[in-house]
Amino acid sequence: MPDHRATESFEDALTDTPSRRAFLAYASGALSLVIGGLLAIPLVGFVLAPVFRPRKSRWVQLGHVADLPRGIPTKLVYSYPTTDGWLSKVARGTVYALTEDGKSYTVLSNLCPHAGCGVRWDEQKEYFQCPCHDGRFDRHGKVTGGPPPHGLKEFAHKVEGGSLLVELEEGA
Amino acid sequence: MVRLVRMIGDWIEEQTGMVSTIHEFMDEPLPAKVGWPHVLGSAVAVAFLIQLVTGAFMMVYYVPTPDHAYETVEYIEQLAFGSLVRGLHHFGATAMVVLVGLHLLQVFIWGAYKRPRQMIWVIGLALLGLTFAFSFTGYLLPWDQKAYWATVVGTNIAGCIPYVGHFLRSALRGGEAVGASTLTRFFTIHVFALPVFLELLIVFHIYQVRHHGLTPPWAVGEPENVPKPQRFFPHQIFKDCVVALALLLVLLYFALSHGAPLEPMANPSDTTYLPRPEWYFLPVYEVLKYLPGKYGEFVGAIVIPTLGFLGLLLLPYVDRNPHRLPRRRPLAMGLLVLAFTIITVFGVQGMKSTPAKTQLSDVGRLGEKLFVDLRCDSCHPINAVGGNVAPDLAHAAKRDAKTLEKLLRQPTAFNERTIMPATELPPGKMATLVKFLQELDEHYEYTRVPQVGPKKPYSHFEENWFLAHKFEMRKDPTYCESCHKPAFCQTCHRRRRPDSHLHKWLRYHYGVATENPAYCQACHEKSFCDACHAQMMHTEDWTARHGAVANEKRELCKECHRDETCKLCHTGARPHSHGKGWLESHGTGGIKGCDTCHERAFCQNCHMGAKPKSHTPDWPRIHGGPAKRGQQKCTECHSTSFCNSCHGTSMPHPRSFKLTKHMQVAKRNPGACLRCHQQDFCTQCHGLELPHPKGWRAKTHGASAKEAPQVCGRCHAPATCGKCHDQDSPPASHDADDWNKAHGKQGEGHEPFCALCHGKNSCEACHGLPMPHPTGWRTKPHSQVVTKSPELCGRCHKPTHCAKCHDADNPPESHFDDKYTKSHAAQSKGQEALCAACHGKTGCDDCHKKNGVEVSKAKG
Repeated sequence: MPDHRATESFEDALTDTPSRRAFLAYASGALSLVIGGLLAIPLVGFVLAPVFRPRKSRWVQLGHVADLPRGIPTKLVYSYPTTDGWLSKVARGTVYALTEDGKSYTVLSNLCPHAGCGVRWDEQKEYFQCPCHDGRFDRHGKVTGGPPPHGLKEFAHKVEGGSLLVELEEGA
Repeated sequence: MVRLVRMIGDWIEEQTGMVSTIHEFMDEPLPAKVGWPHVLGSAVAVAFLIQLVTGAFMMVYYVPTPDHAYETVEYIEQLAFGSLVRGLHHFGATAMVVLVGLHLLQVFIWGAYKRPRQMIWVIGLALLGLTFAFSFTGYLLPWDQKAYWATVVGTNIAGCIPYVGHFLRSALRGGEAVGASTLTRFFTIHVFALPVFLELLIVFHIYQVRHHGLTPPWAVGEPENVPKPQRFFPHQIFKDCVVALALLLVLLYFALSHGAPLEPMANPSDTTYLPRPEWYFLPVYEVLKYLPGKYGEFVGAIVIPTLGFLGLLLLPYVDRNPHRLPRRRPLAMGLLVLAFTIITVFGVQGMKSTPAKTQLSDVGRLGEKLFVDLRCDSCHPINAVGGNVAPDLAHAAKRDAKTLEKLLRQPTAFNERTIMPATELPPGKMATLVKFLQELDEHYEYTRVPQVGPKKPYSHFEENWFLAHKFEMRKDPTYCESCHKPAFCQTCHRRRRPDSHLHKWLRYHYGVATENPAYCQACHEKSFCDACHAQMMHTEDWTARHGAVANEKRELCKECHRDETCKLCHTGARPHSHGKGWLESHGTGGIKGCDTCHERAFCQNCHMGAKPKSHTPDWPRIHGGPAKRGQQKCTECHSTSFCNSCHGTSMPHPRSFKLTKHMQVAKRNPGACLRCHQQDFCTQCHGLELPHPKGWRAKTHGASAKEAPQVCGRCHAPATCGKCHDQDSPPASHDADDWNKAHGKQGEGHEPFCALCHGKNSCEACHGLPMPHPTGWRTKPHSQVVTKSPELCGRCHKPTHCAKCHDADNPPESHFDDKYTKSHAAQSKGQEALCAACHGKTGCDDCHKKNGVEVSKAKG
């Protein structure tokens, strides 16, 4: 195969020294790298920025503690305005709140840790039932049957001014 | 390492043949004098590349719809590196236009458009046109005020072409107005159609340049294709890289220091906005001012630029001059200079004539900051930027400072129904805010602080949201709930109730509340209703239950019901409370409310004789306390005389009882006091046992009277003594044998007491001289009395009394008389004892015998 590198063909006619050409070549390469870097770093950072956003959490009001019956996990629906990237929306979700004595509470997520389906508290059978793969949890969220690897997620909570508040992660 | 690269290169070459192609391209020998001027073409390409990548990456976040375009641009701005990327894109666009212009200029001056390279020039002009198209379409995408209104103007210009203008404008806009369709089609054109065309044309352009070869220099004789020992790579490439880096650094500088501008969000209903064109349109903008009339815009903005473009387009075909040397092309160069001058002059004029933004003074700037901090912009727009609830403040300067301040401090003085809160500020701060307001005019641009966090839904930006929100709220009260707590409504409605709540709301709200309870909950917490309704809810069992509530809170019923309402049922019918056990318990808690049905006398039907439960057998003893404290209202059953009949005096004691009245009562019936008060109760005031104990009159009162007559005086008039004591029955003390003598001492200090019986001047009447002796008696006046009637002294004083003061050195005054030796005889008649007091019994004799005077014997 013929050598397509051009150096041989004009070497004899050149007045330019190879070292100058080499310097210019390397300099071009270096400059190109710099240009590429100057562009690539901001651009890649820009496109990956949402990935590294710090996870914020917020306190969301669930309802009055006086309305919660004792001993039964109560379904509470919450909503709060938030942003989904650039989009303003109202985030909605469901948690279950349980209290035995009106002083200490357990706030459980309604998402099954297996595949993310919403569980439901069954009044008669007295356990949380996941409709997808028949996962079951007791009133405190511990797994009692089915494929879920661990129990329902518990949330940090507090009672303030007669209202139960739960700490939720934004975007969660 | 190099071996590895070689191996990979060989493999790629074998597979694709690309390596040799690239080498061919790179090894292109350069003609003489090709160097720095020729970097402009590749500089344009680099500028385009920068636009391409920055634009592509921004597409990851940008959404081309009116309701999201602006907020996605704001989102990009606040992301990491976001403002840098956007800044590069913004300044890169300017750079591209500048470089395209410079490239065109360079090609023109170098004469590189001449035969056979005409087509390259034509393609270059197409590329120029595409560059302007990029500018125009990209301008709209941020959807801010400038973007929107500049597009309105630009599409209007297209619309002024006769016959086809309207169609062309609608086609560009995707409808009648600049709106969502405009945005989406501009976006598609900008990110897809134009880049495709541009890239194709660039490739063709560069290929054509290579095909024809870079234009040789304009040397005398113009030798063609003199090979120069320089190749494209690395010599020209190096220059290109240097220029590219310089370009990038310049762009980075501007992007970091200035940042791409972003005006407030597009407001299609704001007709006061003044769009300023980009700098490369300024010459046209200025020319239009000189072309009035129906076709002025058409001629200035369409015809003239089109003619210019056509001129450039036809240039290579019209210009047959084979010379490329500028010196040999006077016409071309002359035209160049002319065109350049005209464009520059008009451009500069255009720049000057665009009104400048209003500059605030330092004080005004402070006021502006206050304005932002106080969030006045949430209701007030300034030049249509801001809220849409309150009047536009661009005309605030029409009011004088005093009025503005009054408005701020007390908005209700100007409009009772305003929802504007009163602004309380210390005088200094208030003055800066007023100053700011007075500096506003139609050229002021308010820079909104971009919101971070959830934005308002698009409905809230619509023109009539302030009016429309109440309809939305009535349709679905829970609509507001997802973002706002009930307290949010109160920020305005605390100062201004909804219109519905103005007339007789308390009476009629039940209709609304029963139909749609969520309506109330939009503003009021649930507990708000409970404040009244906890007891007052007229639920199904209300008929049974209302009695207890009505008993206690009659006034709440009256809010809605008239008095007769009760009688509708309760005539004849008994309340629920009058059930079993009513007879026992009916009295507790008083008789409030009985009078709704029963007359007062009704109680007497039973209560003649029948007593309340509290009246236990020992009630007479213990009723005092409860009666005093008001626990048992005696008057509910008993008349006032009832107490008196037992107590013997009015109960409770009337006001003046202590001072005066009780005396009469106590006297008349002392036992009445003792019924409640202890025996010593009287003593506390009176100072002695009351009533007077047994034997007081007969025996004991004398001693007290003697000791402290004023105590008697508290109750008894002086004449009281006289009632018993008279001539025949003097006070016991007077019975004493030595009363004549002793009374003097006892009477001392108690003269008024003596006077009670004896009268005021009774002493004198008896004594013959004022008794007691007046002050100064001893010194002087007594001597006169003694001289005249010494027997008066003798009534009280023994003769020896005189000797207490009078002695040989200090005789009585009478003895000083010259004639005393003579007059004393008459004086001493019958007063021998008195003389004897000093002179002794034999005094007279002693003297008289001595002097041989006869003593006339006195009688007795």
